Amino acid sequence: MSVENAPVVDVDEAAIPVEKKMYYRFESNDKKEFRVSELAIQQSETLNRLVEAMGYTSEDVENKPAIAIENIDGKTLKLVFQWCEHHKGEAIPVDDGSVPKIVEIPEFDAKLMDIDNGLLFKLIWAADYLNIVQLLNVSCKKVANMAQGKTPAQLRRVYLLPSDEEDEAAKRAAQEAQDPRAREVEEEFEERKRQGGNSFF
Amino acid sequence: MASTFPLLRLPSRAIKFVLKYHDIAELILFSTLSNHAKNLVKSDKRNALNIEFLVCNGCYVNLYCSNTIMFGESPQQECGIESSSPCTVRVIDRWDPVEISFPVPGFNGVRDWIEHFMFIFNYSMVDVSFGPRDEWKYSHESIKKVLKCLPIGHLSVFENACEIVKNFPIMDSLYVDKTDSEPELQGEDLKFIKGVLIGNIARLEVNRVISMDLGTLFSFTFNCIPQKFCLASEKDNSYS
Repeated sequence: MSVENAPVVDVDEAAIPVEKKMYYRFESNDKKEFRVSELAIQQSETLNRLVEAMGYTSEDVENKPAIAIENIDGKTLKLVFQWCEHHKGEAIPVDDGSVPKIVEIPEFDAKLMDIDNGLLFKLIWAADYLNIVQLLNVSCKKVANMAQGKTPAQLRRVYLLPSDEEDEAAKRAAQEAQDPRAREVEEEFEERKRQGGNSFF
Repeated sequence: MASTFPLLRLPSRAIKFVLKYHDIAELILFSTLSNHAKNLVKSDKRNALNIEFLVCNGCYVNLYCSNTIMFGESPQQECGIESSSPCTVRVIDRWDPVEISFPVPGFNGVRDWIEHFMFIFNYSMVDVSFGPRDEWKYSHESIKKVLKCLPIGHLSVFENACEIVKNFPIMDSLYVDKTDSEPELQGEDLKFIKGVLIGNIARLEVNRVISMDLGTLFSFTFNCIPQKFCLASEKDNSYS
């Protein structure tokens, strides 16, 4: 199935599905609404638990407001739901976080993720937030592929990795921004030490 | 301009996933970029089975996954043990004939890499094998510098056992062998090596004649009974 034909539906551009399956309505933070099948939702542990807890009937879905997903925008959510619809019913991998696995990016997923890195970044955040393990797998694999054949300098540029000095400067700046008085006290203490004083107070 | 991706701004689980899909060569390169990157690779737990410094061959890091990392193999040609030019690292996979090799600026001597790999691959000791002296690639002094203060897990010596054991304290296990041409231990050397054997070494394998009486043999404190002792002389009730 192509990306374009994935059955995620924007409410304002598609008819209500004729199948007697349960379709839930979700709303992104920019007020875009989507209908997503119950089976597709199972790919997301977060959403699956949410709809189970809500216990909506078909009437509730139609009559109650769409379920708001407040920290994901419409563009990203559309990709997420397209992915879930395409992979609905597939086994959900267990995230044990330990054994490196070989992951091939399927053609559908490769096309879906043929997007700019800004959107890919948002997609990964969404996959993590919604706990869609396989989407997280393939999207992170795509990011890992960016490192192939790179020299250390190129790798630093691609991943925007700060040097130790930059990390240290950022840490200091964050500390100062958080508590300017602490910095002043520290400087005062250092000054007293230089002057040979034993007691600070 | 090549596209960029702010890896470290991803959620921590996603960063772990990304690292999981890096191969060993990519992970090594990534780990050299900063302390933060180094710690991330360490937390990926691609642990080492062992880290070996084979004085006759170079250094090997064997990982639980199918990779072996080699470096310091050709000191004369490309990277002396204390060289100021980057030391080339080779990564091979048991299941994949493709070999990747690369130098990394700033990682010049063997010591830099040993310490780095001990850290990122979560292995706290170096196993050192000296081999026959005429096959050493490095001088005794260079080896001392490289291994200074590093904990040695397994020490394997073929010649000059006393000299080596004096300089490289063992943490875990010792293997002592000899070449055909080397004379038997005598005098102070014999006394010293007996003292070492009686010491608190967890595993010991001796493949050469070391004369000692039964009382000394029974005072050994190691857990594993040595297999290669044989009766040398029934007359003076000694084993070797």
